[in-house]
Amino acid sequence: MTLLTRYLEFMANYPVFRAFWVNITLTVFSGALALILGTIAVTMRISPIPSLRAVSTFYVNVLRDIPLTVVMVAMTTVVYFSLDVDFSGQLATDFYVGVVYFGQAPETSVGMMANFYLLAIIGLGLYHSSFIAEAIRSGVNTVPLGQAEAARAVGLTFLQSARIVILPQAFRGAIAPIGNTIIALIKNTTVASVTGVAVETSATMSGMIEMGPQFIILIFLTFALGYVIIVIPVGVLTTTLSRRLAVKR
Amino acid sequence: MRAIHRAAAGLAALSLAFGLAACSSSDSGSGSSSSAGGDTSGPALTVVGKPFTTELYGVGLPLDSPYCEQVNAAIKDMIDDGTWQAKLDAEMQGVAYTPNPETNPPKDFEVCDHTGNAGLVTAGKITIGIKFDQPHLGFKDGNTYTGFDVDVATYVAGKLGFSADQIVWVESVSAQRETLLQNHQVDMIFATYSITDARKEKVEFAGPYFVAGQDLLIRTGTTDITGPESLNNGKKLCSVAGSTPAQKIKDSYATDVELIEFQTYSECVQALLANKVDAVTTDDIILAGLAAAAN
Repeated sequence: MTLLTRYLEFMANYPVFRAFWVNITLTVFSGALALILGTIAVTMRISPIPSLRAVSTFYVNVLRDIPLTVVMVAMTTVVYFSLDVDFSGQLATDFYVGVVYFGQAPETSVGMMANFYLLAIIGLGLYHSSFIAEAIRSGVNTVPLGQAEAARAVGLTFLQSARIVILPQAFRGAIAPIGNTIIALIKNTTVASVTGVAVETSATMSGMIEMGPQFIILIFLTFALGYVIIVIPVGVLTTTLSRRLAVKR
Repeated sequence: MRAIHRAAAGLAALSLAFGLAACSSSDSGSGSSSSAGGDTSGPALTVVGKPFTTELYGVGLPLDSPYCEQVNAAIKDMIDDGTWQAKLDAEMQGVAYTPNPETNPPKDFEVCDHTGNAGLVTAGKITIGIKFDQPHLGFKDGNTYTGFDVDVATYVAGKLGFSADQIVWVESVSAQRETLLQNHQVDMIFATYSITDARKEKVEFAGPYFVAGQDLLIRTGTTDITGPESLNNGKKLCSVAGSTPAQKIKDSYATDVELIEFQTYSECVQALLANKVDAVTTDDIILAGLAAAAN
């Protein structure tokens, strides 16, 4: 038996595809949360009300400056252990089983894993929302000042001009930085193992290395290749979209 | 306009209050757990039951190391002249723990199949890999290194002709132990390194210098956990992601116990003290060290 066949036999004992699927679902949900929070933050940042601008600036700066690992550790030690915020109710468990296991619950109970999964989504979403907010703000800077002035002259309020005139153009201009943040998010989801999500790729990789140290290079190549396969389409999509959707001025 | 100003001020006040509540509740949380430890005038955590597996802690050596036989002889000397027992007792002082008497001190040593002429990593010094984060086993305390692994390593290095200040201590994380030895970044490893056949393909083992076994750590006073079988009704068990004990529990007891995996044992102990999990599992001597540090 060659090294490769022995390795494939070894790899069959580990849920490698489910691990990648967990990371992909974490990306989707925390990306959605980051986009929502980032849009709210940037709308507050460009608003004419100084206190809202101050709150948004504070929020973005604090979350950008704390390392992701610290944010994720804080989600377990501070939010879960100390503040007793618990997401292991029936709704959360059904959501977790439905998304990760496609409805077929595993033999062990997964209440705590659902809790950690949601905490990881919140932690990742909060952290990346600051980067998304700054990316959209750079898109807002590409919109000519005349657009905002014309919107005011026509009689639109701030929220209407943001919703109808400024933000659509800003998003179209900010697709490349947002795409970069999403690509960083895809790889940052491996930090979810710090929050206790043990079915994702970095925890699975640690387990495989511990039990199969003779395959260490193949294990590394497996996970690196998996992430390359996931990230390349996202990168290509970002580039084509940013070119096709750019506002032609 | 004024409504929005008030809303923004309310938002700022709310986040400030949340932050203060977080500080005060985390203080009261740690305060209550330490006062609980102080109220029950005894240790807060205990190692329960007998170990239910056997883990041989060996000395990892590169395949072309010339020291294998000498390390075996040094360990045998340490056991024979009483230093082994003395150091173990000193480290485990204050913890109700005795190593498995059927297997300790170790009597059967590994056969040295390989030999070679590899030189030292740094001429004139011996580079030894240990753990930096296992209290009473391999622990970095500022600039000093303490623990039973460190004690055995210092004795063996002494028998090989290296004084205590000729030893260079390097951190060897679990996943990197084989790589460190193969790339000759360390001369030997004393890092709670279990001897397994899979690892013997890549590294040489001398020893063992201790025979551990997997066991459970519980909060003192938990009467319904007496061994691995008693975990089988919805209990929550904590271990480190990807470690050998976590794998063994998954293979043998995965039917009804919920396994939580964190990155470090200290997070598991924190979860245990905060009543979030019911037991922590790993090798019994590591549990004893964690319990001694937590009490």
